[in-house]
Amino acid sequence: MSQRSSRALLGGALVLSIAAGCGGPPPDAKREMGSPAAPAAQAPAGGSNPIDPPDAEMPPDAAPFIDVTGATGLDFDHWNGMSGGLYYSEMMGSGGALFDVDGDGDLDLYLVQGARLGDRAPSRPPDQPTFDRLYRNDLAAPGATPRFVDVTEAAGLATAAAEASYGMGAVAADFDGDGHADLYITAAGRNRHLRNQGDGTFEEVTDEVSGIERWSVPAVVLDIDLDGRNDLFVGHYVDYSIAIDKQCVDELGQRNYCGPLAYAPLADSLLRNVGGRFEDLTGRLGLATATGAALGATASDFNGDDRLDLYVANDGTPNRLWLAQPDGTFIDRALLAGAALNGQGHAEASMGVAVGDVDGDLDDDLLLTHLTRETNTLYRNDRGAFVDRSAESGLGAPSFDRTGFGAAWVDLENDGRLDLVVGNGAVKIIKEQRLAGDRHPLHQRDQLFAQQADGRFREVGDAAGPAFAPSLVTRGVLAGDLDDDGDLDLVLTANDGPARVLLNRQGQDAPWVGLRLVNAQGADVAGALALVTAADGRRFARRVVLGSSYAGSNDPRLLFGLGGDGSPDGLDGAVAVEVVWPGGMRERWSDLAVGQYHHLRRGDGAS
Amino acid sequence: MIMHTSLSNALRFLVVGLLVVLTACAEPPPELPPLEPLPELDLESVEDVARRQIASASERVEQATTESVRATADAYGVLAQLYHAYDLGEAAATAYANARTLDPTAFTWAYLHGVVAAGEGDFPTARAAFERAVELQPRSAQPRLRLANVLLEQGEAEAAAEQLRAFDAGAGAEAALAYGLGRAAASLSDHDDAVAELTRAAELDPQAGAVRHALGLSLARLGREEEAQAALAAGNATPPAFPDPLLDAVRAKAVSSGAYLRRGNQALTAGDLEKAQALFTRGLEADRDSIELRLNLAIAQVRAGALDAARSTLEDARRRAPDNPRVHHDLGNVLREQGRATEAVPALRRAVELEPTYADAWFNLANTLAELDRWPEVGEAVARYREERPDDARGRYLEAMALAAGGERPEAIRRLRALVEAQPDDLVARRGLGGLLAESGDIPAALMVYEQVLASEALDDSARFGVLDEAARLAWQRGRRPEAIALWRRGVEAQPQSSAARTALANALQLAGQRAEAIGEFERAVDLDPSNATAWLSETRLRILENQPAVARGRLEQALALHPENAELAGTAARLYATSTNDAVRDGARAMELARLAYGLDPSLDNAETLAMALAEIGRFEEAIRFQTQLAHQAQQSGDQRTLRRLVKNLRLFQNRRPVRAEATDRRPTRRGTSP
Repeated sequence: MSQRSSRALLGGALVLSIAAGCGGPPPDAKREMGSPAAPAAQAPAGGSNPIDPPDAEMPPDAAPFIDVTGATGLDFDHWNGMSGGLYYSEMMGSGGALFDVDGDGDLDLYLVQGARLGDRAPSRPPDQPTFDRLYRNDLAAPGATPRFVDVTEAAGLATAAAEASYGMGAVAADFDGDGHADLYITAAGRNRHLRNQGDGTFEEVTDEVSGIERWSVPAVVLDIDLDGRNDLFVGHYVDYSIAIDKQCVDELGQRNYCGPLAYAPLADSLLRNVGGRFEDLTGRLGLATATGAALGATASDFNGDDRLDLYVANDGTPNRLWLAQPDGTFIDRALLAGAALNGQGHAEASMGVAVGDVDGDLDDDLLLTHLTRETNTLYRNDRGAFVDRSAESGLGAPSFDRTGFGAAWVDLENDGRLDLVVGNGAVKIIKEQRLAGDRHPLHQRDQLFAQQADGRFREVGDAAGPAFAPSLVTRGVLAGDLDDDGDLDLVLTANDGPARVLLNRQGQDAPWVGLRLVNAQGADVAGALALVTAADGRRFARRVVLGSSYAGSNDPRLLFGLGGDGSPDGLDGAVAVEVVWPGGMRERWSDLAVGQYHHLRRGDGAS
Repeated sequence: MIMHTSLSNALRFLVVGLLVVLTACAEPPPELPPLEPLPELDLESVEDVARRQIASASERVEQATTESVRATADAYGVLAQLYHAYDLGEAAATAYANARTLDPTAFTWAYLHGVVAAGEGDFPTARAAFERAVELQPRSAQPRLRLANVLLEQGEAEAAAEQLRAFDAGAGAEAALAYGLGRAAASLSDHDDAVAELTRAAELDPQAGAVRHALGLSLARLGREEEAQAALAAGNATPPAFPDPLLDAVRAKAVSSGAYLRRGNQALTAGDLEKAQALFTRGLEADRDSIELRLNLAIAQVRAGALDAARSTLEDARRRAPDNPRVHHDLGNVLREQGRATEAVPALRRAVELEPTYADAWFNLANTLAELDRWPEVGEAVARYREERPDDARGRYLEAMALAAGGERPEAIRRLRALVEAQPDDLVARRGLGGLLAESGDIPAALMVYEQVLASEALDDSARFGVLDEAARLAWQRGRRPEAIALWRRGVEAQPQSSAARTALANALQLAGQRAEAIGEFERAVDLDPSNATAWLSETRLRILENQPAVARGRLEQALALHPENAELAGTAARLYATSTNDAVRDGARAMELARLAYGLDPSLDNAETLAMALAEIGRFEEAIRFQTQLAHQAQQSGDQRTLRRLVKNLRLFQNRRPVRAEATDRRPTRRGTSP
């Protein structure tokens, strides 16, 4: 090759990024320069999260949720491998997935674990081997306390590969078309693909199916080509490894975690399921040129054209709203749609995303969780045009002093209005906590917001009871009806701390109906929308979303609270349901009884 | 001796007496109202300078409590400012609250308490504090603007608008005022009003991206999509600035190296490179050993174009931290940026020796080696890079290039095809594939690949022109001239304001014989970029060929005014003025002047001939004959018969005391050879 042509060809490849690091400037289109070690300073000691006593004791029965972790047998203790090195990945934390692994109808639980980082000795040894955990729910009867049995080893998941993986998130879906929910695990390293063999065991098929090795956090299931197979969107965070870890200091000269702008953001991946393996269509479908530090993602039909779109929450960089086009490609319309930046034009931290019809207009709105000194953002959707209603909704101001991660819309009382749960925990060391001698100075209290009749939200605060009293480093918020009593319960995961199970104590007393939207094989259909008409004529929209919150996947079943504001008409009678399947096919079911779950199989309804 | 003892005792009594009197006369400690206890902070690990500042201010609080209420208020306020400066928000809020309790009339403490409380998300406290500050200084813009912000955060847009309408912002705060009113209107879904206010704010502070973003969203809500898109392209979220000397004074109290580092990074992010360098330098005064400050200073220096200074900074860092891989990596990059790729290689090699998994360093090493055409080493480095980042497209691209350089062009093409199949938007890879296909002689396939690159919306206009230019040259080489010209025309469409794009098209048109159109394009090229001497020269020569000597003369004089030292322009003009058949154009004196200039700058045969023609034109035939004879001898010796015939022909004219007359220049065209 001639010198002239080689240089000409390399011209484009020379464009790299300079990263100043340490909460500093974003990378620009230049060659990368690293940032060095800072003066040594005190690092936080390891250990479990400190738990503060509640400010005000609540009568246990009055609280909407109670912590039943101990009673359920859940013993998961997340270990982030921190060693005093303040590695960027250690403060991130992981989530998990709620799904029915054994086909017995109740929700089982998969929780994602960290691993050792680098060569430094960890501040505390892990209490358990560091592989992810699968808990089977042996629920005795609807309304009973769930009983989680650790079946990790029996399921073949206690492998060396699993132990070495620094996991982030999980999503469950039937990828091989056998009707059993498989698992896709995102990681700060190599993502993993686990095939459910239908006999209670899993087989690792990562190499055969899809081997992505970039820091990944969210994964979302959708059928992009409408071929009936579940495809995957995988959100990538930043180009980071221990080798290029940057060391940042605060104003007091003390070490602290860096921010995302210290590292180069990555383009996300869109993988098409071609039967037995996944084909990377990222570039072909238009996503390859858009980078961003993705921490949250979800799918819905945001503009009402019967195609599933993608929303990607990026940390410190503009969010993306990938609208599906008729030719199968995606175009990012987030900026013009008003969903890329908040109302003031800021690219916020965007750790988690909750999708749901908050205002009852039958399209999905978005709630994004952010860093301390940014409010969480409520984007109200009006057929694809979003408006930042954080302040007006009452969700903004109370979140200003928290760093939100996982979030879920939960109808606490089954009154038909969606309420909100946000898991909080800082990503930068809270200086006052450190200077007060705290061992893990990232903790904050989680929050519960109740939607009022006027559509505004009120922070429940101390009335949320002891379950919301501890100051923790919460990351994942998984919502699902763990006890099959018709209301949404919670599993909260913590960074370097135990996972918790919170049971809803209020919703079960109001009328409800539950739906599971499945295909011919009995697998959940990602993106299917159910429009329920209650006896009193009220209409509700809920969609099967496999992948949302932070690094997690909620109960694939759809739960509709029908209680209203005491209207007797909503309490009895049957409901009518219209299901919009991916691609736009509509089917109807009528006279579905309230107070129970119904399986609606594609093709069985009236067209 | 006795007297001395007596005196001594007397003095002792006097001192004791004075002390008794002073004690009896001293003010009793002031009675203080109940105050909030300050948080107990263990400052052991805090940087020395910050710890000393805070400790001193804390001691001052203790001391002041024995003096007066006012002194205690001020001492709490000063301590609060330090906490505030070092971003200890809760402690600052408590100390400000105490200062306000002790001195409720102090505007400063009320205002700063509001700022800290708002920063901590305690909006009720912030609101109360700002309301008090507004009471104390109703004409002050800052507390009103901040109060309105808090009200907006609390969802009280009408109250916010009321606050903002209640005062007339002074100089420097008008944009912030209009922005606040616009936000309030947008929050109330009154987008017409919002657009009016935000447009005003944008006019007052065009740099404030937050204004244009808010404006874009309101325009979008009104269905004015094109205007919305233009406004949303602002690209930053900077709100309108307003002067805030109180807060600036607080920030300036943080003088630790960490504080300078953070402020320097903020300046770097904002693109204020001068300020960033100054802050990093001040940070180094506080901590001479900081490597991080040096690395970030070097980044600021690189961005400011001060590559020598950046190298010096990094060499200093290398002396202090010889085992820091990032220092070597960054130094290598700076050396390469300076065109010293050979020196960059050992620095980058040292980085990967120190940190074998340092992917970026492997990549930059590979790239630098590629620049030096050291392809076998490129292959090794890129292989290591791909171990670290197997999926990275840049690594796959460079690996293919290394294969091609090693003679494995078919395999390289295969890999690049796979890469562009997987990542169709990877234009670098696609362009590289086009280049390799062209080198392998498969021009149709190469052109097809270039067309695919051109189909990408991600290509910016400059890159689009580059690709079109490459494709056009390939087409030209294959004799597909109309196709090549069409590609260059697209290049002009892609970059209508590019002088280079128009020059490339004009060159092709000239070679294709389409002189009239070529003249037009050359003329537009010099209009766009008067420094484009090549275009000036081509245009004027074409005009001479097209028998437009008068126009050519005018344009040549314009060109010479801009390029007085350009030998080709001077020679062309001299030849025209000495030989034109147009009496109005011919100018022997000017021809002589320019011919001397051209010959002095470039003593070529062309310019020598022109000098002889000019001498003849002004009647100095003897000198012209002598000069022309010498040239003819030289041509004879070199065996150049064609030149010799021409020289002899003109020599005979001179011997007959006749100057040369030519309808058009016989000088060769500007573009040598047959390719544009």
